[in-house]
Amino acid sequence: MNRFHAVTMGLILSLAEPHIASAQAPPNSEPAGNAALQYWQAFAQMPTLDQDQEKLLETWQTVPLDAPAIQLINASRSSRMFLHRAAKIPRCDWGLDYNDGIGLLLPHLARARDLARLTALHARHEFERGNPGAARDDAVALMVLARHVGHDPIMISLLVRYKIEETVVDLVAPYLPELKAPHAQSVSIFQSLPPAVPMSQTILTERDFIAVWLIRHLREAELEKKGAWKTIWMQVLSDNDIPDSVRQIATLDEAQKLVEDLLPVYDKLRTIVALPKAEFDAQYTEFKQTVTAGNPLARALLPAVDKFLGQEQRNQTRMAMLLAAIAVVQDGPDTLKDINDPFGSGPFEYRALEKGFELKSALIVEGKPVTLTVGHAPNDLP
Amino acid sequence: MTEADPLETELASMRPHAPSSELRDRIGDQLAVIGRRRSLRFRIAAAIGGAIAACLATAVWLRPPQANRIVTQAPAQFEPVHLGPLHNARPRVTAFSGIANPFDSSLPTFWTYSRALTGPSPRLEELLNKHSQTLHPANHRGWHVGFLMSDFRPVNGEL
Repeated sequence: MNRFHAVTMGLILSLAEPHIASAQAPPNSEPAGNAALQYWQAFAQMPTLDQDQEKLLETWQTVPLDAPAIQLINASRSSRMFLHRAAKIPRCDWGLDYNDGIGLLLPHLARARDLARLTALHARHEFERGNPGAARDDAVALMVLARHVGHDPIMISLLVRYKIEETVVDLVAPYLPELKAPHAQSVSIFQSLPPAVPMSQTILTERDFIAVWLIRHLREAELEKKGAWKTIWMQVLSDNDIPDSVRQIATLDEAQKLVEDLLPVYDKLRTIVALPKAEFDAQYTEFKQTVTAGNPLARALLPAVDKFLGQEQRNQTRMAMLLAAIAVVQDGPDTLKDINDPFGSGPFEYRALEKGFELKSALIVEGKPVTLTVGHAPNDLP
Repeated sequence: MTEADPLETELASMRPHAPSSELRDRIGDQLAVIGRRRSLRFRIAAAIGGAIAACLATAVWLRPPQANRIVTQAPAQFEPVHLGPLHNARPRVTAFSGIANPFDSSLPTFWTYSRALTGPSPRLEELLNKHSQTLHPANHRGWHVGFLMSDFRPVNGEL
């Protein structure tokens, strides 16, 4: 038997050996792992802000780059180090447990937004002191952060992603002529970013987190204590514009039916949201009127997708404009003929300015055309 | 004293003959065959055991890492609700025990953000500012999760 054991152990050890060897390899030898672990270290290293610093960070785009700003930039050095490490890792898993439903905690969103602002402040300082390379690295890392934040198909995550991407556009556009980034390389970097989740995918999450979760918890509450469902019902419907008839529903069955009737509405909404803009605009208003007239709960629970789609489209357009502007800086305005406005029937409109130029899209959001001003600091816009 | 029996005496004087060389060789050959058979059986058993052990070890090593950790579940895998009669439902947990209270607006929950987005004036920026301050390790007072309070702040002097 001793020989038998020896043979078995030998075989096991011979199999284990390569794994032991790989476990001892340097962890940074390839971009594997989970970027979220690096981001959380970045968040943990972020400076505690007093009120003045909070205000400074809010106005990172225009604030004077004086001693308090430099102090904040220096204090965020470790955070930026972890941000750049995270940007090299394609996979990002924030560790969210979707079974928490509407109680799902999303603590990384606010911290990611702050990290983006701190990094943008640093990048702006680098631009100002003639170091566009470092600023460009920050901008690319922020683009990756944005995509990582928007990795989960959750509407709020996507909105924070748009905010971070908008920060990048606001950061880079004023300094684009100095950056002299090759257009082909910029397009290549943009295309290699982690994939972007479209708004339509978040509708199913909304359905599962809100409607499905609510049905389950109303029933569970009732099983534990007679009438307890009503407490949850009232909490969910705490908004002022909910009709009293819905708030004062008497039985669990009625409440459950109202929520169940919304489940197919979410599916239909998802289909509409995925339509091209013109078709969405044509169908959504009627859809909304029909749904809200048929189910008084719809107004309280369904997301205002038209508003968020507007932000998504604006964001897509501004990003396309930034890439187009890089081409203009490289090859002149004539190059715009080859670049289409994603929400127009032709190229972006071009207007020369004293120090730079402006691009205008056919897309109208909240009554205003989407524009991008290049080469002007926000303080000295005409 | 009794007189010695002649037969006894003759028997006592008898000595066994030494085995012939032919007999010795035959026995030797048979013992060698048995020994070879035993050795072969042992080797076969060892090889089979070793192969089984190798298979088990390989299976353990090659098992996908996802099987060992808590996986973030995609919404498509969200446990579907069974909309059967109420009496079929099984009570699992007290409402909101084991998760953060979704209706506590000081927490960055899905519901808190969701309400901020569906309200008359979107308050996303305001909420992010608020949560950014409360989430900082220096200001974080812990979250009430169900009936438990989690608070990871070290007390003064600790660490």
